[in-house]
Amino acid sequence: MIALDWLVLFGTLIFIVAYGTWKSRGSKNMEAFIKGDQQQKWWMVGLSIMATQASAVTFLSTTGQGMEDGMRFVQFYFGLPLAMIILSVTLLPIYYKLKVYTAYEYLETRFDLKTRTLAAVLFLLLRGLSVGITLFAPSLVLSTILGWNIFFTTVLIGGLVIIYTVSGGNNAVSITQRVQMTIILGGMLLAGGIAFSLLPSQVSFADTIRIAGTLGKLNIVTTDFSWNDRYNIWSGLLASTFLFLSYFGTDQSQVARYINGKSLTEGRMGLLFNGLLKIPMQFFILFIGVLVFVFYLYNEAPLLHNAVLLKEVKQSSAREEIIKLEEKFNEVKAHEKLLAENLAEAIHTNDLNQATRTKTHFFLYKQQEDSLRREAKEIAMEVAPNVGGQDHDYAFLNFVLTHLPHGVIGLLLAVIFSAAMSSMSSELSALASTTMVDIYKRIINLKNPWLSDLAISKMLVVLWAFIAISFAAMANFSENLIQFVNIVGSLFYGTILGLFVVAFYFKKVKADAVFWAAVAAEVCVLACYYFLGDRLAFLYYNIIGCAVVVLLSLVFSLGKKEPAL
Amino acid sequence: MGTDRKENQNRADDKPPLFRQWSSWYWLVAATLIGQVIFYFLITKSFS
Repeated sequence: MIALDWLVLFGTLIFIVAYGTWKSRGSKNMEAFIKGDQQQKWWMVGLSIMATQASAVTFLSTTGQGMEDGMRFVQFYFGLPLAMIILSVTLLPIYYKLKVYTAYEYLETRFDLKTRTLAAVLFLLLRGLSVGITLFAPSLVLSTILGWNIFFTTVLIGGLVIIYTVSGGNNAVSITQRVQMTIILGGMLLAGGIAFSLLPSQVSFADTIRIAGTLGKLNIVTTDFSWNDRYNIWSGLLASTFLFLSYFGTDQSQVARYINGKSLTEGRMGLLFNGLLKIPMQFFILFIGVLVFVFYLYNEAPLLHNAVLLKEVKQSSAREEIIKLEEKFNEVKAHEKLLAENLAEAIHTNDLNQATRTKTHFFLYKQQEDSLRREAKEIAMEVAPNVGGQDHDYAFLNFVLTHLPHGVIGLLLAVIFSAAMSSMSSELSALASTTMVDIYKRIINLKNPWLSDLAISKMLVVLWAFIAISFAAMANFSENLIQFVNIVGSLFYGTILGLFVVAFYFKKVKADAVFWAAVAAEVCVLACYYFLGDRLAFLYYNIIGCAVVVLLSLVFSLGKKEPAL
Repeated sequence: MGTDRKENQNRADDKPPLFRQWSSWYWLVAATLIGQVIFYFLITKSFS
């Protein structure tokens, strides 16, 4: 990092905060603060939806996943367009018709206050946990790589978000997300272009594809079914649809994005825009990971992508051990490079036998490489047991800092910070509005002569930000970060979705039946996760939660007669 | 009556761009999904 990178990074961040604060100034009341000006065009709604979903984890972890696991993670998003269509037909018109502040208001209209409160509390639990992770993930990686204290990084990201979210509320979130999404998309396109240009000149784009494909990285669609396989076409089309129905239809951080549209038409188009663009975007991000994988076939690769950790290990008593491992690792990588060149030649000459032999040899060395990396990680964990996250979460950022030109480094760091800020601001805004509208105004309803509703809403944003910062400063995860976010979501989303499905499709089911069905469903999902763990892929918990709510609410409704009016 | 008129007005305002009906947009999104799945499946089969 040189002065130019710092200038680009902080110039971009200051511009985003100043622009968002300036453009959204003048929120005069709680309605404008929570709902926004409701003048957003479809493309603004669409960008805002995408920016909310694309957190920093998306860019750090997904590229790493592309390098390690190939591109099959893209299947996770196959259910998203289907969910966008279903929501455009079902829930969106209801939200616009009822002019709701939050999604959970609809549940009171349809059932009663306790059902609304249950959904709101589940959302607050789920999102309250997730916002901490949304902040923790980039803070961990950035602070490690940049050598910053994690507390400083979390306070920096959280503080910047607080400035414009408190100042302009939902409008500020939407306005800054447009800028952030432009920076994110531009930055990632640039990163992809540069990653490809860094490959040896004799390796064409077609060669890159064929090498990556032969080495198992273009496994985009996998048709084998297994209950514990997280990413295949079946879980993508079926279970993910439930997850995305719940996330986009009932999670206030997303609902707030599209109810801020100028009209129902703009809201619908915003959702469909997301349905059209999300999969190609994820495909591209994963593909950048694959390009980095091919790049490291021809160039020196690090034993650990967490360069700071590697340096720390080299300065510890394990120095000799890690240097020996590194020498072995470099030998293995030299063999892999030779084999990759042979493979490229076999592909050029269309020699299938040679390609197959080379591939088999390559995988033998790849096994050795993986084993050496594992050993290195074990040594590193002994030296620095508090370092969290998986090594491949550091891969993309390490690649950027080591191989990309100055200026671009600053821009890509700004991309990661922007992504962290865009999702965090939506989440804080949604947490504050749900706490204000569904809990404070509806249940507590104190007549406060000193503080206006607007002031309390702003204080709630700060309160939730404080909780997220505290969580992020104290947290430590070994799970791949993006998967952890999705697992937490899947444990709650099914139940919340079940409430909305019953509300919409089962007109005869009454409040008590659906409420107790939802309580039982949540207990059931948590029990399943406790007993089954990884034996059942987390996406299926969305289906279980939703199905149990629907079935039990029907069972509990049996024999109950409607009260006479 | 007033409410009915307002709802009819809302429905009239809710016209999709480019197409006459929303269902055309839904089919477009669904067809794009199917197209992508087929495209990715072919990539997987061709290059693995």
